[in-house]
Amino acid sequence: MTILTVENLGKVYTGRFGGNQVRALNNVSFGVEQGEYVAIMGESGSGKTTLLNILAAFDRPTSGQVYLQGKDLTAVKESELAAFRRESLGFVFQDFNLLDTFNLRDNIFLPLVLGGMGYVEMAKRLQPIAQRMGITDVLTKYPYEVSGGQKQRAAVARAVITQPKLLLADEPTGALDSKSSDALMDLFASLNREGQTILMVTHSTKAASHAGRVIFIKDGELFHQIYRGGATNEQMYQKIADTLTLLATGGDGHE
Amino acid sequence: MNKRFYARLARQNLQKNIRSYGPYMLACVLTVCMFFIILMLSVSPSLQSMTGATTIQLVIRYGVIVVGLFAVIFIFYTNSFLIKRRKREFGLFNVLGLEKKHLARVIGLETFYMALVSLGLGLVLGAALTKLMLLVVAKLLGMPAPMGFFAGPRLLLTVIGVTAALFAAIFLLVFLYSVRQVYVARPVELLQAEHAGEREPKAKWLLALVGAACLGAGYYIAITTTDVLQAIFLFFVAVVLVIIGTYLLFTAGSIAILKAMRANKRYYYQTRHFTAVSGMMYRMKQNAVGLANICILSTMVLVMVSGTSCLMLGMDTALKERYPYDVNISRSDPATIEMVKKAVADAGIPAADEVEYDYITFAAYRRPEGLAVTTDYTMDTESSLADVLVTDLADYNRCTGQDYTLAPGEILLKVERADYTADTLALLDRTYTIKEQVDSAVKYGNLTPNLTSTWYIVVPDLDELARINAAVSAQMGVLEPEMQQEEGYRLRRFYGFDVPGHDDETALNARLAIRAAWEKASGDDAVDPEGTYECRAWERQDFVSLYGSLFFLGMFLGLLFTMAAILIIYYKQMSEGRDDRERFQIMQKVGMSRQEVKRTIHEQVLIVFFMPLVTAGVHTGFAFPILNRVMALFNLMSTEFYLWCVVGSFGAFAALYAVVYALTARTYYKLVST
Repeated sequence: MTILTVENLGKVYTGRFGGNQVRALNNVSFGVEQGEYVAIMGESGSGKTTLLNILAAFDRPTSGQVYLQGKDLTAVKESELAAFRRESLGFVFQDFNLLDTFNLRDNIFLPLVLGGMGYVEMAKRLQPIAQRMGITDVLTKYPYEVSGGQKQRAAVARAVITQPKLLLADEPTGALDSKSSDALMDLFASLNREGQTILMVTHSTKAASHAGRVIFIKDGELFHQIYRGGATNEQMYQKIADTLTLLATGGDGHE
Repeated sequence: MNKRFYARLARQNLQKNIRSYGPYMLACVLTVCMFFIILMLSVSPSLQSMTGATTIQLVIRYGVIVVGLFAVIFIFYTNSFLIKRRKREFGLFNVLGLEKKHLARVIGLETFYMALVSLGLGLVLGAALTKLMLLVVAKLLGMPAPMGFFAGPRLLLTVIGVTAALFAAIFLLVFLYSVRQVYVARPVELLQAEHAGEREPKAKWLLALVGAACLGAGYYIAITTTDVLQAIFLFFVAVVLVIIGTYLLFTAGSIAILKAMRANKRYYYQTRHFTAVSGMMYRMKQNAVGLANICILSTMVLVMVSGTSCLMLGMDTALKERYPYDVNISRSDPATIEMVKKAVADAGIPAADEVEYDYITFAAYRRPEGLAVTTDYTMDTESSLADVLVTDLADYNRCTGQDYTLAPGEILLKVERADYTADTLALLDRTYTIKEQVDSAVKYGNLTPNLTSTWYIVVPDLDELARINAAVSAQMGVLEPEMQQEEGYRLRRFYGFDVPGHDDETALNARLAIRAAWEKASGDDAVDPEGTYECRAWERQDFVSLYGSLFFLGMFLGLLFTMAAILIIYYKQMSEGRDDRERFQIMQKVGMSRQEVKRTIHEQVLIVFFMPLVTAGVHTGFAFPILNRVMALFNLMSTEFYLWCVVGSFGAFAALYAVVYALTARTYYKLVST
């Protein structure tokens, strides 16, 4: 079953006085199946963050549609967006985006509390997730008191505690050391094995090599995509590296 | 690096930080301006030529000290706030290769420019406004407007010199503080300085309890002090306690309460409480001291403005209480009063509404069964002190237009500033039956401004009056013989009258005529040292110069403190806005709608900014009883009138506060939503 469908997506940024138009996304189309783990790669300025922002409904496209389980995201009313985002999507960001005013537990509870869930129910949900993320001992600590890896795992816990249809990650390993990065990627892979659909934007070849499919974007357009097939992480890594080389040396992809 | 580089950098820094330095500069300019004005007024020759100049200048000199102290604290405080916010910027400069001594040079130049602009504009503005202020003061004091320029060049230069010296010293202090801030920190610390304050605050229950205790004690003193003589001293004790209490409760108390709220999981994990409690905790940690400052400043403004405006507006009422008739005469020999009457008539002044009655007054102590005349007051406090005025029935009926009758042993009674509920009244060797507690008494101004209770007693006839007089004399005579000789304890006579149309000039003419007759009658004052003649129009001058100058000072300082409060509010909004921006964005990303975020933030900001105002209102409310008693010292006896002044001042201040809030909130939302 296709959970996410992106059709002819385009985004044009216009300068303040109407001039200076920048085409960030051009005619991008792809689909994500239920339970899939997709990585989106591209250089800085290739449009991948714009794409993610549109998928997360932080931004509206200038043309094209996004369907999440058949629902047109671009048509969701502004007033319903917050609830929609809270219930259907989970986010993991490069800079964690944890609130300094809450301890880790309360940060994880945040979307549930916003949704009006009772404390007992929340605590019941948190317990296995916290254990899984290995942050049970630091739940009462504040973001500035724990390591980057712990912060990011808390952020993942916050993203999955709502049981979202789609987990969106924006450079989740960007601010982590290699050891924490590896641990996080293993976590993503195991979440995916349990059926969580994941869409991840990343720079890191290593991170992307965990994914089932990698989509490459260049200058706002879909450049290429590769499937894992039966490949190991190492083989996948090699494939990605080759594609990136092609991308960098001026290959024209499918054009 | 050449010299121009530093100058340009300093200028650019000020321009770049215009949002924070602009209001600071404006506040400095206004502070200089106000200091110049009040200093100018304190030495102004045109004020010195006014009637009651000594009082006015005394009050205004007091104002100079307050404004000067305020300037030091205020400018220093604001600067330290600004420097703290710029630490990151300094850290960056430091990392980019500017040594600390170079930074010190830049800061020095910045401070120099600030001082130059503040002093330059402030002095020009001050000079321009001084004449206006002189006119205002003259108007308040009911004097003719002073003519010409307000000061000679020499005086002007002296005042400018003193102002410049004071503010140069303040800015030097500011400079040294800023440089110290940069010198003690390492570049990395400077870079991270802004994030240093984000640790979760600890709940300091002990401090919170001490704060509550201080506040409670302050309130208790304010409410329970009935003794007006102690009121003034205790008022300052209460003020200090309340200030300490306010700071502790704003800082430690708020955090402790919020922590307790958070500990209650069922309450805390509800959508609205969740963000509010944690958000408030963070805000209180950052802002508690600033908010407490706003609260104290607001309270000071409220107390000052309400008190002085009450004095000014209530002046005529107070005058009428103190001097019930245009002319009031008290004398122990009726012959002199007759001479006075003749003198007034000879001067061609028709006396209207004449009132004349015999009376005696003496001090006594309250006892459960009545009043005791004694000098053995070891068991008494000032609050049991009673002033007694006794008149006979015939005079009473005539003067008040009543038609009472009294049997022997019966009296009429009116008690002011105390309650007496018994049916009988023991006085000296007799116990009288109180026939009725009456509403009106003879008008006798001398007892009105008293802080102790006043007892008006009406006895059946002059014989009884004379008998009481003799008994009092005997009683006092036994205890203090020399006093008996001095005061004589003869019956006294009050004579009061109004002049046609209450015309001041006629009243003053009458006073002149009376003074001539008086001197002829007395020769020397030995005949009746207690005798007085008081003319309301004449006494008004003193009232006006005291109340008018107090009112001016109250408004002047009120304005200054309000300006400070506004500036603090503005800076709070600004720093809040910067801090909230990030939180605002994260909350939206995690699934809060724009409206929800806006609403929660709006609620919190409202609480944060209106808490000082509400607290200031509560402080003023609790201060009311004690202030009301202090007001009595200034002849203002109407609680209701003072209440209206307080309510009016609070209303006006709250309105101003709300306007300032609305204006600064725009800056805040601009910062948050971009």
